[in-house]
Order: sequence, then structure tokens, then C-alpha cells
Amino acid sequence: MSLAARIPHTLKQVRPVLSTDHAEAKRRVLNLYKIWLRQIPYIRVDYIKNNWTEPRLRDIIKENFMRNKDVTDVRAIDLLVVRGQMDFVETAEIWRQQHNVAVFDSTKNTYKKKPASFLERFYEGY
Amino acid sequence: MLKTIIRHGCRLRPALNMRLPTSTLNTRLHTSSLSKANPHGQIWPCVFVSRRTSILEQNIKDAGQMRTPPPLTPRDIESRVLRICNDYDKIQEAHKNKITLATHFMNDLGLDSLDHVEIIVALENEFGFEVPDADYDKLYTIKAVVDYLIKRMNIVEHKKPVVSSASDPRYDHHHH
Repeated sequence: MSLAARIPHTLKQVRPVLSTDHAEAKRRVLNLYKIWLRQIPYIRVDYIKNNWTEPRLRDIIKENFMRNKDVTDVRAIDLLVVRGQMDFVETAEIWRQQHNVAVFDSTKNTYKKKPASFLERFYEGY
Repeated sequence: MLKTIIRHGCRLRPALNMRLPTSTLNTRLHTSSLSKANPHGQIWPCVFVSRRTSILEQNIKDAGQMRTPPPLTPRDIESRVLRICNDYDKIQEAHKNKITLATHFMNDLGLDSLDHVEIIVALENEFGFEVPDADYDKLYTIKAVVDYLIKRMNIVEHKKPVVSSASDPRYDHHHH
């Protein structure tokens, strides 16, 4: 009998990061979303130079969550939630600068986009 | 007439009252103290009375504010929940004030779970307590939200007291 056959089935399962099933992962995501929503008035005050309104901030938060809407792997969702929590702490404790929070807002993101079409890439020198 | 009123007003002052039995010249004393307080002698009791009435009015106003508000009824909860949902901008875009109690947030209004959380946060702000995340999937229709709030806040519909000429039934036990 080979070694692979003798390994019990339970050992083959992947160890979960935080959540064991999709329902728990979803609950974590919704909790994170709620925390961000509750932080909105403080974000407005702490990063006042960005001149955000409350509905705009709600849209920004939702946009950032919807960016990962197609992730189905529970472990990947857990890692994204953990990253979101770290982002939240950095934002709430004002460890970020004004421009560093503005990155969340797609309209204020001034990072240079990578060229997509052939000619753009040609001009850039790729 | 006015002078007697003034004197009566003066006698209300505790300091003078204490001095009254001992002093033989109490009328003199009043007039002298009055003239010392202000030369015209007419303003002081008016000020006193107006101050007293203003204090009384303030007390009455405070008493009115300290009265307990009427208990919440299920109808209040319903109207407040409907108002919150109508104020929510994404619902306003989709269905303008077509919300009924049977409306389902996701099936009828096309909201996703994040919008649902936004509505729940608005409800928490309105009613002042936190909804645990295990209860989110119970709150998909407005009817369910209203029922949940009524259950959480222990709201009972009080019957209106019936006014009748019959004797108080509480005291009937003693007679029978």
C-alpha cells in the first residue's frame, strides 16, 4: 500500500485561514463593510483636505469592496478581509497621509496607468 | 395702596422678618432700607415679583420637558422604518415611494448585500442599538424588519383606557 493511500482524507483538506465556510466569510465581509460605514464621519474629518462628502465616501467604500466581488475562494476572501482590516486601522489611526487615503478614490488616484494599446506602449518605449 | 403693597413685599424678605419682632420702629426701618436700596422705592418689588414669576415659569417649562414621552407603538416603528427606507438614495432611484411592508430588498428593489448593510446601519442610527450580524439574513423584507424591531424593543400595543360610569372593578373584590 502506498503512502498516499494511507493518508487519511481529513489531512488532504486545506487548513482555513479564518472562516470554515462561505457563510462565515460573508459575515466577516459584511462586518468589515459596516465598520467602514461607521467610520465615514471620522474619515471626513481626519482627511478633510480630500473634501469628500458622505455619499461619495459610501460610494468609494462600496467600489473598493466590489472590486473583489468575483473572488470565490474562502481563503482568498479571508486574506482580503484581513487586509481590509489593516487598511481600516491605518485609516482610523491616521497613520496615512491625506494623499495616501485618496488612493481609495478612483477619481483621485493619480498613479500613472500602464499603457494598454500597442501605440501607447510604443510611445512609452516598451 | 401701592405703599402698603410695597411694605408687604418688604416683609417677605427673610432678613427683615427676623428683625421685625425686635425692632420697635419697623415702619421706619422699612422706609429707610427701601430708600437705601433705590431712591424711588417702586422698582424693587416689581423686580422681585418678575424674577419670581420667571423662576416659576422656568420650573413649569422644565417639568414639561421631564415628562416621559408616550410609549412607542408598532405603528410608530412602521412609519419610521418606512421613512428610513424611503430616504435611502438607492431605493429612491429605483422605486420612488412605492415601498410597502411586503417589499423584499433584494428581489423587489434589486439591492445587494452591501446595500442591505447600509440600510441596517441607518436603522441602528435611528433606533440606537446594534443589530448582530447573525440576524442580517432575517431582515430582508420591511415587514421582517418591523417585527424584529418590535421584538427587540419589547413594544406592546397598549389598549386605550375605556371611560365608563361603572365603578372601579379593582374595588369590587372587597364588596363581594
